[in-house]
Amino acid sequence: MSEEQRQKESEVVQEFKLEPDNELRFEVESKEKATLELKSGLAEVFGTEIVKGKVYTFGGGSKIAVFTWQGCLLELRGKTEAAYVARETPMIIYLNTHAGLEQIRKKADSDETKRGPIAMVVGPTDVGKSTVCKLLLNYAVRMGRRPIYVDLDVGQGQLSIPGTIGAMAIERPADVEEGFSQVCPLIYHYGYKEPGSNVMLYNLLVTKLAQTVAERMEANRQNAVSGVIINTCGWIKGQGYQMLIHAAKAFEVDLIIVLDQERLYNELVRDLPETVKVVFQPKSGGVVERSRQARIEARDQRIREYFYGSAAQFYPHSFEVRFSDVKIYKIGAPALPDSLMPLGMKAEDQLTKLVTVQPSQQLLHHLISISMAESGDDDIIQTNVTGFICVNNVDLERQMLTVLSPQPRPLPRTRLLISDIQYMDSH
Amino acid sequence: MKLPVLYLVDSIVKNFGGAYTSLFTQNIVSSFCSVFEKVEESTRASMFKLRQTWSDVFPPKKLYALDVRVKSIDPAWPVTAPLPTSIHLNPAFLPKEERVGYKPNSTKKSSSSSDTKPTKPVAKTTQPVVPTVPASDLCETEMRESLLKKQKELLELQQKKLEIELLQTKARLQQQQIQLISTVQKSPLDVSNGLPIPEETPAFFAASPLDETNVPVPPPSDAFTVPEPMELALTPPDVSIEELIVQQPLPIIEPVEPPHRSSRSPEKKAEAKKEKKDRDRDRDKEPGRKKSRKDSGQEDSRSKSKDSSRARKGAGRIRNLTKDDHNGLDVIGCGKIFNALPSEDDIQVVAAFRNVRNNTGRLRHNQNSKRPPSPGIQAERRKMETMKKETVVEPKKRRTNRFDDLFGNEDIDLRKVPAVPVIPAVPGVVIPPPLATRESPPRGSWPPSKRGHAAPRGRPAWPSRGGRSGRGGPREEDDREPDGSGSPRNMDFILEQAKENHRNGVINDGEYGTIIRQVFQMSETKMIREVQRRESFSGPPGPHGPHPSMEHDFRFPGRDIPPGPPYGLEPYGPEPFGPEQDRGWNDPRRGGGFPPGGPFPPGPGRMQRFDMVQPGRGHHGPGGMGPINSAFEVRPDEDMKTIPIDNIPREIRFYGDKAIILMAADDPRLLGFQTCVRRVLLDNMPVDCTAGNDYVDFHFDGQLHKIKIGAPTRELYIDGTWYECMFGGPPITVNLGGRPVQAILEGPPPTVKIGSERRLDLLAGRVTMIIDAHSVIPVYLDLKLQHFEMDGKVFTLQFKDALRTAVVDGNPYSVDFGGLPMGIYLDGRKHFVRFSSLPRGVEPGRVLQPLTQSEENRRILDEEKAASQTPPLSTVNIGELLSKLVATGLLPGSAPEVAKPAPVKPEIKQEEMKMRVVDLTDSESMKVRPNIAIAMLYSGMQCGSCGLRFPADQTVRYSTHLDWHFRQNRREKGASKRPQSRKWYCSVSDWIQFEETEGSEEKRLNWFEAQAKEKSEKDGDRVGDESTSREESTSVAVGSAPEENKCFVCHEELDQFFHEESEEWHLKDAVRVDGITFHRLCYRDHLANMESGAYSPSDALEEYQSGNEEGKSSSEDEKQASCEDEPSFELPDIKKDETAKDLMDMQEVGLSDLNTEVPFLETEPPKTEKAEEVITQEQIVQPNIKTEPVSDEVQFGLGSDLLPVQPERAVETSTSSSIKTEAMDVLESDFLQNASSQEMDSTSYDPSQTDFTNIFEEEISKICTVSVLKDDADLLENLDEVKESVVESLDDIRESTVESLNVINDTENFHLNLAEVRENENLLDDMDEAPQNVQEPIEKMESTDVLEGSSSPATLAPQISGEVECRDSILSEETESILEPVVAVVQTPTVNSSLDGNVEMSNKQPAPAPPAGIKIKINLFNKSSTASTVQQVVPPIPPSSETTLVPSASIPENSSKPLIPTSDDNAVNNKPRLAGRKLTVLPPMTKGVETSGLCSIM
Repeated sequence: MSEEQRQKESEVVQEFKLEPDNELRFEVESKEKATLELKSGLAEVFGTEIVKGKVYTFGGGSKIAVFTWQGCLLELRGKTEAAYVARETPMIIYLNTHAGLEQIRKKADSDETKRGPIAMVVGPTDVGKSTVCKLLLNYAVRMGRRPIYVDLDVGQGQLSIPGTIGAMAIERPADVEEGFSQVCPLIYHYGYKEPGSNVMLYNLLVTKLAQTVAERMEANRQNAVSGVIINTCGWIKGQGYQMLIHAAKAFEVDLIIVLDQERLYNELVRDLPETVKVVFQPKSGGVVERSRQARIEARDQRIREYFYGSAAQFYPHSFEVRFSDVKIYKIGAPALPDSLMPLGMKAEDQLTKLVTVQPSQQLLHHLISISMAESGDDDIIQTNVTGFICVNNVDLERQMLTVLSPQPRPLPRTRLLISDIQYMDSH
Repeated sequence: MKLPVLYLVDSIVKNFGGAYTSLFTQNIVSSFCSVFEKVEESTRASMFKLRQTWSDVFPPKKLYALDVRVKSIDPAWPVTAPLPTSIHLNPAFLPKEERVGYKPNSTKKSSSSSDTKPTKPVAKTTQPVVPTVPASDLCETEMRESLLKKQKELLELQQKKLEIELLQTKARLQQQQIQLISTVQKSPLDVSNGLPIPEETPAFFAASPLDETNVPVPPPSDAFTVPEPMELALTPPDVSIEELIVQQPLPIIEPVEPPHRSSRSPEKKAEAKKEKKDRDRDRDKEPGRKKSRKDSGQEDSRSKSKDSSRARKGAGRIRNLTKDDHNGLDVIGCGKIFNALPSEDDIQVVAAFRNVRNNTGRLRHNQNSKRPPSPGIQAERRKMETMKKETVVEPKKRRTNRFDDLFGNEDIDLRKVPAVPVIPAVPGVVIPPPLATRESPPRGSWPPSKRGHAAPRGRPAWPSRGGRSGRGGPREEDDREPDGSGSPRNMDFILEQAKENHRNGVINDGEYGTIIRQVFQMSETKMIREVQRRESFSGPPGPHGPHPSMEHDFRFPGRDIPPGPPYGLEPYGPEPFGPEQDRGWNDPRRGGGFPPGGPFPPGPGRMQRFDMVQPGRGHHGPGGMGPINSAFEVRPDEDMKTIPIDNIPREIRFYGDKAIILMAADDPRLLGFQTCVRRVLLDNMPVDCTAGNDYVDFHFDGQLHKIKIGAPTRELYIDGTWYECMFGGPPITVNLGGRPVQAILEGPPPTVKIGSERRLDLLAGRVTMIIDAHSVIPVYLDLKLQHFEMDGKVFTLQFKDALRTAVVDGNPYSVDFGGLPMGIYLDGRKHFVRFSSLPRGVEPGRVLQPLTQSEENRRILDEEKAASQTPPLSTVNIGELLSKLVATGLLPGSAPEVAKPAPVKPEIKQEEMKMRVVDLTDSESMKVRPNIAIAMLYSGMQCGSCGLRFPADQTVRYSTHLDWHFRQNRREKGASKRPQSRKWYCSVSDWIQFEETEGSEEKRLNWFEAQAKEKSEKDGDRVGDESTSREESTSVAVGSAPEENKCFVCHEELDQFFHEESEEWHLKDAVRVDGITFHRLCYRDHLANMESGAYSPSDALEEYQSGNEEGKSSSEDEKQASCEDEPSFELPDIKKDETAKDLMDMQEVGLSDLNTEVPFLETEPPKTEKAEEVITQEQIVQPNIKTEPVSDEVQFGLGSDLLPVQPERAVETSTSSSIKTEAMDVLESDFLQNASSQEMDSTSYDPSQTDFTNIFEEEISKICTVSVLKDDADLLENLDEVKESVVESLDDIRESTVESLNVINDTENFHLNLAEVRENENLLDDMDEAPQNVQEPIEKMESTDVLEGSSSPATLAPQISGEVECRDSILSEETESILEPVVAVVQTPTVNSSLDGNVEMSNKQPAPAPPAGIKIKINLFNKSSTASTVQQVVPPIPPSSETTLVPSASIPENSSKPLIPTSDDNAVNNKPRLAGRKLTVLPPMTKGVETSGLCSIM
């Protein structure tokens, strides 16, 4: 009781009066929560307008920025770190970016042959790429658009778990508390948290994803008009830069927004054709650099959310799977010297080769993607996944895997792709 | 820490108490609050319920602290615990008042707390006062001591507070005494309000009568009158009429009491005080126990007739041993007081008390306190049951109220409070409250009231659309779903929001108009679609199948809504569109069920409205309506003029020389000039005319002419020809006698006179004709020919037959104003034409007739009557909307010429985004604030859920969006009942197609459905995704009455969903036959039953086969039946609330088993209580089951059955009639509970085991004696005899009994089928076999070690009789008089029931005392059947349960194991006929759970 009481008493209620174009930034202490309520005026959180009088709850570790174009009064309760009002934000620039995109969409609207803007947000890590994507998507949705969000950030992807890339059609603004609805994303298995771990595979998947997205735009005019917003990895040097170029080409981007990295900007301007607009934009002052640990935690969080939901509303299932019932693959064979390779095969080919994995303790705590592929080994790599399971136990004697699965048994498919990423189910 | 943990704590504390209690007490507040903080609303509700059971478990102070804490988290949490004041009386402070009857009043006592500590030591010594202390009490001393310690701490803490209160209370006391004296018997109720009424009213209730009993000094009469009324007055505000009635006898009672009391008082004087203190102390800590002591003491002195009630009470007491059992005792207390009174009164008072308690939210205890029913009370009790159901819904609010009143001084009769609507709907409030205020409390707070849909959560209140039959159902039952519904409601919502925004200047006129127009078109289009749908389905729509919803669709808030006197107290609360709309619709709708049909079935509401009105017009004659216009000269298109009056252009329509002006669309008035004389110069020849007079003659050129001054715009009439001539204006040329004459009308213009009455005889008003949902043409409700233009062609329209018929282009159509569009053919093309509803007071067939004065008067009267009887629906209609359109300048103002079509051409001022061209590469331009972009982002109406905005021109999308939200919410709500999991992602092709919000439902569900299907196929016993049942689903529209939305067979609430195509609410997987709703599968079974008359072997076999082999259909069955339990099956680590509750329940039962001598007694009471509680939890306000008390109770049991055995039961029960099934269910569950209780507590196992054995023994002996009786006729006769002697509701029961007899006959088959013998053996064979069977079970019984060992005939009789009583009082509520003679006989039925409650029990329940012989026959067969079942069906089950089921869920099965030490070998041995057969071992199935539970008892 006393603890609770203290907590209660120590709960801070802060009121912030924001001038137009100001931004309230706060971070919720870890393992605490804070609630936000708009008392008057208009405000938005990462582009999602918040409803007056509705209480939004943010869990521990959330970093929230509430921006107002018109001025507002906000009430913030709970333990927050460094809640402050920022006057200088790049929000106007971002909104102008949106306006620019909207112009392109308008053109596409009136001209059947045209498609909406395909914009890619690039920049080093921790410059707010995802946030800018979210803003642009939210603004677009609020204008009645149906943009497609493509997330190529295998490390901190927003659509699914780390180690994947994917795309999703955005139909409504991101939930202030939970982010974009993830009812039906299109996810491809990559299997590593670094894009550099298997560049070949990464590029292959990006190409495949771009194709699929193009298909969808083909099929759905609204999506086509609304365009695509692409989030990328923070790896922008060397190979990473090449991968960005590749992605830009694969998606035929119209606009690249470079956040906070002039060198990258200049390089892109230099290396990309004239038709691709490259713009440089500052990062928001509110962006916090994440430590390595924080990134790891964020990854874990993503996986947990996959299984348990962002508000622990999901109940995953745990069951056993016979070794014989599934086929587990790994993408990428160990590189061999060219001399040992069969004739005409290059080392790189190995990287996208499907290798059967014998179940062993090695699998323990690894995430496994369930490929959508029905049968055979054909193209499992380029087939999207239908979900993920996590190996919680390997019983070699009984030839059983105990897996954590979002859905009850049986597994929908039997072709599994093992991921490098591990997750300890602590629930 | 989550709710289950709390349940665990709860369970521990209640069952073991002692040290645990004190330990948990220390941090209960923090743990509770921490949980409360985290969980979501529904869990909070559960927690609330949990909390309500703690009133006597934890010290009040803690509870109070808890309440306050929680309230700080959630303001809606009622602080139900009394302010932890001591309730000790300080004689020093209150020497006088005390005797004047203050004792019942806790605060006053509390004021005297200063000497609370001294009293405590006394506590122990007072115990001897109680004559008999039940043995069970002794074991509690330990606990009490710890409580005493606690108490001490508590008191110390409280002391300060109390001292402060003391002063206050004193003052109040004085005041009250004055009141008491002055109001003595007249207004005793008033007194009560000054009194604090703490949550724990039962405690006080219990106390007060006792207090009085013990008051040493026989007070003056007024002193005595006070307390009684007080108690009654304490009834919470919403006490129903019943109680009010009950109050009446009191004054009569009171005089009787004093003698009664005083007779006791002398010898008790000395101890009275002590006792009181003792009691006070006890009340604080452990009130139940103390009272129970008293109770038993008193019971001894009771008449024998009360025995059964005592038994029941005892059961209650024992069961709640460590909890509180005020209620049972309360009643006793009262009973004691009123013992001397006529029994009728007695009972009534008891009932009143019971009601009182009902309303204090402590429902679970009420069942305990059931007294032996006397004829008078039965009905009342039944009513009570119903009432309970109704009132249960709003205890929170009430408590809050009550608490608010706690320390107030106002003299408000609390009972009158309910009359005041929770949120008074102010009649005539034309402007809906600002959106913000209607915005429901922010998430996470409790709704102020759960009643009705007064206080929706989460989102603004949606105007309830009473006219929608489909909607009514879900909304009424489902107050958690305020968030939306199909688009019609959306439309209302949107309109409202638009209006709001418009008023606030958020959107401009243009946008507003756009929205209105879009909504308008949406609705029109919808209606046309509806008509088309109907036409395609069921031929032409009935010409008079009025569409009731129209008025509602466009009900505009405010504007001309007459307040309507009766609606002022409309309890619906925030009814933004004027409550009066709803009332008229809802009421009739509730009364009569809707025929299943389209979403807009002919609304009885509307029909009724006509019906109500039309008979009144008898004297008019239905068709007595001549074409009166023939008298007039019709000059088409010139009958209309528009003049500005008060700067508003008004339409004038002429009928002959009468001018009618439309002051509003429904307000035609006679127009003329004020009487005055004006001079007309005709070629300078002056003629004086008097305005308002008829023609005057004048001579011109030697000819006689007539002249008169007409009405505005037709000022001059000469010889029947009108001229427009300005007063004082330029001369006009008139035709006079064939030659043109200059006419001048001299000024000044006279005052225009507008008639004071509506002239409905000529022009009924103006409505709108909507053609094909886009052309909007104002038409006049008169009999003239009107012209309208469509697609460039002019058509004519004329109303005939007093507006019943419209002649369009020469073809008559019957008109349905405000109804669905009708298809007409114009120019060879089909068009949908719709007329908006008629103005207020206009009824087809009754207007446009010249009326005599008297007739008119009468008519007006009629109208008024009609208006007061029926909602003035037509006032708010499309016309309103249109007038708004006109007002906002969107429609061409009231077209002066009718013929002119007024097509709605969107004039949207499409705010072209004149955005500055942004050059993304120009960093400078990027820094310019894009104001227009901002404005665009923030324009339009905002969705209250997600904050998305929809500009005016996207109203349709907004509506879709709201629909989507609604579906989503619904889905989530459904989902919250069972654990959700993340879905598998979809395939690429699906992804390409996937649209979450805007795709069609089917498309959306493709993949997920496939998932679910797959899953359910492979995983038959699990509940698949909710969408599973949607495939191949049949659905019917939601009925208006709650019972229509339940499966008739299994009484499960049918799932509701929004049917996209028909755009109404449907019941999932349901069929409706003759107005009775079934689950599809239940119906199948039902049909099968009907055919066979009972549960036929083939049916059963089929069922089992399908259940086990095909798996699918049975899983479907189960799915429907087991929504509740499923979670626990699926997920071991997630304990569903209910399961946890049940667990707790079982534990309790187990414990009480242990502690009592009559373990059987308590099984029933807990069950029913729980049932009720659970029902309230789920807010399934169960309708009364029509037939009899039994079913009432039974239904509770059924609904509450959260035991995991439900699926099986549902399957099984579907085979017999409903009453039967109910009974069966209850019994089954009882026994399961019993069984599980044994399992739960191994120590309790033995006693109950013994019981079973005893009963077995009993039965066996019976069987041996009477097994010969096989004549069915005899059986029937006997049964009937008994029944007649017994039951009030004889008919129902006989029915069921007869049915049950059938069942009996079929039991042979039944057992065979259960045993999986796939042969149909005929009845005779079975009969032959019967003797064998009799022997078998006996052998079996004896062979069972446990049974044998524990069988003790000695204990047999008392137990059985006890059980008989218990059952009887609870289930059949029979009078004691019946019980007594019957006990011996009744033994058998009860035995049967206890043995296999499955089939037979139901029969016996209604007819508690049939001759033993019959029963025995039943037993006989049953015995064999169950025996075989045990052997063959059950064994496979336990393994399955072990592997797949949750611990909690598997309890029943586990319990079965010790009870059924049988094997397949036995089966063969016992049934020689089976020896040669190959018995199939069934695969594990959840279905078997139930069976096993049942058999375990055998």
